[in-house]
Amino acid sequence: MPISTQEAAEALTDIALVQHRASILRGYERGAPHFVLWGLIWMVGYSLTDITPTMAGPGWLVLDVIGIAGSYFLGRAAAANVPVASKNYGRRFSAVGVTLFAFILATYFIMKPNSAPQFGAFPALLMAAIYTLVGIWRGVRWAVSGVALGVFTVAGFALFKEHFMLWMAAAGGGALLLTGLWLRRA
Amino acid sequence: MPTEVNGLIHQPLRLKIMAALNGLPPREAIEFTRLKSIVEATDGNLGAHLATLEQAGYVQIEKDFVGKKPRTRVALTRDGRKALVQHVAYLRDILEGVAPAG
Repeated sequence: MPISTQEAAEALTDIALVQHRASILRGYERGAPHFVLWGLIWMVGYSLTDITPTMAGPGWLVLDVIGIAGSYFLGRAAAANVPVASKNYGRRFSAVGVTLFAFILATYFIMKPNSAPQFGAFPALLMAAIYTLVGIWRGVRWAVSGVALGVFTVAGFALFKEHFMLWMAAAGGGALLLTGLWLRRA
Repeated sequence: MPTEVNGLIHQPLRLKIMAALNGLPPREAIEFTRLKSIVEATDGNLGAHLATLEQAGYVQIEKDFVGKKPRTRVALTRDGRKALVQHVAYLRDILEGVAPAG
């Protein structure tokens, strides 16, 4: 069964397209539960910050530890049926969480934000930028989530400063939660 | 390198299935429903072509339960990966004029 050069080219293009699509969907599948987890954490954390501002520091510390541990277990669960070489997903996900946490604390230390909304907006903007950058390379749904989160954060900071934490609990946490469900359905 | 086409793999949907599975790390399996959305096939069509690939020893199909829910997972075998690599090399050879085109 001879193949023409055009058929060969089309077959190679099909292979490349399918492999790209498989890789994108795999990323969505892996990311989805983490978005849901962190969406819930943001909802609780920002709500707590609004209700009892003096407890915001220790509250976020506890929530971040829960989130990082949760990401570890989600990563480990995803890798349960994966070969040995890939079994450090859990550690990688929690290492990402620790790195971001350290980066945010270091930035607060150096830049010294002087209002609660500034404290609250920075992590959200950082995540918005990261999701958008990931989306540029690894699937449009990440980028849509990043842009939405960024827009919600800036809009809340400009328009609802007095209730910014509640806004972020609903819009920020909600955006992450909905993104997780959206990625899962891809 | 092969000098003629592997007709079993070259069928369009089977080629997509093999390509999708080849994108996974070695021995990693993918769920049937996920594979279906990647290759954009119907249940029946995908099932039939997977059976053909399984008979050829190119894919391994595992069926189990998660709770009470049945789950079917598919992985590329070592022979399947080798066959796809050879087929891709053959297609490239045609494009480069090394292998004869039809």
